[in-house]
Amino acid sequence: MRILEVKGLKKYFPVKIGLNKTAYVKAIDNIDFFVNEKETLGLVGESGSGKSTTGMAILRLLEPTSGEILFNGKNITKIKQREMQKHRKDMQIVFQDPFASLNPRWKIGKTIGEALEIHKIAKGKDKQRRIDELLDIVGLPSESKNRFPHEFSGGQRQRIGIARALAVNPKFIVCDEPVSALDVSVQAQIINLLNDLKEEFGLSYLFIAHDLGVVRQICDRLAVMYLGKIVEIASTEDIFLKPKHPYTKALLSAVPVADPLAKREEIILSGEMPNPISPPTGCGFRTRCHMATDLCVDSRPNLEQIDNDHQVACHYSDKIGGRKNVEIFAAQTT
Amino acid sequence: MKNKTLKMLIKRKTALAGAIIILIVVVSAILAPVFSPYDPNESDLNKRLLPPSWDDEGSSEHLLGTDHLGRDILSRIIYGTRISLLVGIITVLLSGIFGTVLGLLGGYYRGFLDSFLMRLTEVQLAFPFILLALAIMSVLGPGLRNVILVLSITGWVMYSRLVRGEVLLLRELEYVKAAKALGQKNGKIIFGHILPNVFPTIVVVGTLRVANMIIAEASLTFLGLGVESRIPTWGSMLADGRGYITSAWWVTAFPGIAIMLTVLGINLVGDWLRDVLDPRLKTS
Repeated sequence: MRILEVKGLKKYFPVKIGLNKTAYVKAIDNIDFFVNEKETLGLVGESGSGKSTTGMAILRLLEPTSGEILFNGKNITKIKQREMQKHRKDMQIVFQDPFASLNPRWKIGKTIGEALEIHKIAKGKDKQRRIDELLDIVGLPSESKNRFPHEFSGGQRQRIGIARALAVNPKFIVCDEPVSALDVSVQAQIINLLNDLKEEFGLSYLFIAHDLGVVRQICDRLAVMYLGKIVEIASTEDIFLKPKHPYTKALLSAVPVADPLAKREEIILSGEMPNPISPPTGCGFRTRCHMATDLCVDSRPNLEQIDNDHQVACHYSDKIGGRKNVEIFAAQTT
Repeated sequence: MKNKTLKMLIKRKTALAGAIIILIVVVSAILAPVFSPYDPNESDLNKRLLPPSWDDEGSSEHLLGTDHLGRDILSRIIYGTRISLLVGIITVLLSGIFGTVLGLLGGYYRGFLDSFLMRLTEVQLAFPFILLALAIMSVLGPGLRNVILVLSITGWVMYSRLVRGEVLLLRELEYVKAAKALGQKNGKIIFGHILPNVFPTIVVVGTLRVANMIIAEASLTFLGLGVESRIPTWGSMLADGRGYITSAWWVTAFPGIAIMLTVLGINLVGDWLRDVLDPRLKTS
């Protein structure tokens, strides 16, 4: 059962160039994916690849330019914001920056209580009890509700952000780089917490990240984004062991390995991601790809099924052999 | 909670000094007839331009001396607090509330409303204040009520621009987006999440503007478009004494000092208020 399905989603931002000309930043350019119930789909890519925009668009915090978003089978792309309110209870978001995600002038209890009030989940004493309960779930003492955000560390704030998202009993949570701003030791705690919550409440996540080491810990499947497009999507294991897109390979080679003797094939990408206002013709990655040929200039590769649940958008995916990722994968797993 | 706030006020010496100044000004405005030794309009041409009492030529009857019509300066300053305070505070409140609400709405909703408000603001800022005030006052006629009206009409743009800028920043912050993702209503986001976070800025600017308003009232009065001349105000005192500034400094100096002290008091309390409103600076 698919909890979320995205079809042909596009988000273009208009940019004025000159007096009368408008160009468009193609932040998301025609992407398709789905998230199964009780599954975590990872969305990875470098800054500016459109990961966060995708998360925002799914929650209708940004209006998509075109495409369809099906939540629990219902198309929520064009429904009015008022009707959308009903669905907001089922889909929540945890943000990246724990310092900007809590109102600095509100006590924690009020922040978490807001969610309960909006959806009329609990009032008065019930509300207080529920706030205590939520704080307990995320591993914070109930006294926290009388404190202000600045009295907490980054990891604790992220827990509060998670408690707020959980308050409305959602089925699906967009985690927008929830651990990128945290210390490594704290990252592990938050990831474990998210994993536990997933088990306990049967949640599904769209987990946005740029750190492959992190997504390895939590995601069932991975989608790799580049320049507003999904270039490869497969199970986490397949992405790590049998990457079929040169960009995925390059990303993987940047994952640090805890074994100093491990032989590593390093692929260092030169240059930067092209300007999404005027993306290159053909394949978006060709400007930085060591395998690019004339074919890549002329024609844009589509996302094609190459294996069970493994889709890739590259003309030469069959030429990309499995690299020696086995030990990396093993090192990450243990 | 209130006790804690009060304790913080006493702990902070500068804020306490500010509060005392404001208290004195307010009390003397209310009890002007009790405190002032003379009728502010009672003139005695035999005692014109008497220097302050500590001067060799001064008289102990007039502590701060007399003006060019022999009126007691101390009494006029005490009575003047009424108008200055009234004009300063009411105009700041009126223009502050009006400008803030428009700035919040424009910055949050953007679109046509925002463009319209900003063009209006730009036009008004480009237009010389005095010219605009003159035009309005010549239609409405002089008088205290009209002075307040004019100053409020011309003053709101400061706030609307300032608030709009802050809102543009705040509306993109993640806690605002989180509230939206929870399905919070726009009104509650604007007044619950955004307003409390722009409030400190408004308070600080507002306290600074009180001074501007007192001086603007003085300018209008000086041009003969302000408060009726028989009512003493600090502004009109400055205007009256202008011609004697080289020979009788006290006529302008004392109302000037009164303005300065009042503004200082308001600013000190404004600073303190800003900090009190910021939970980060509160020691718990």
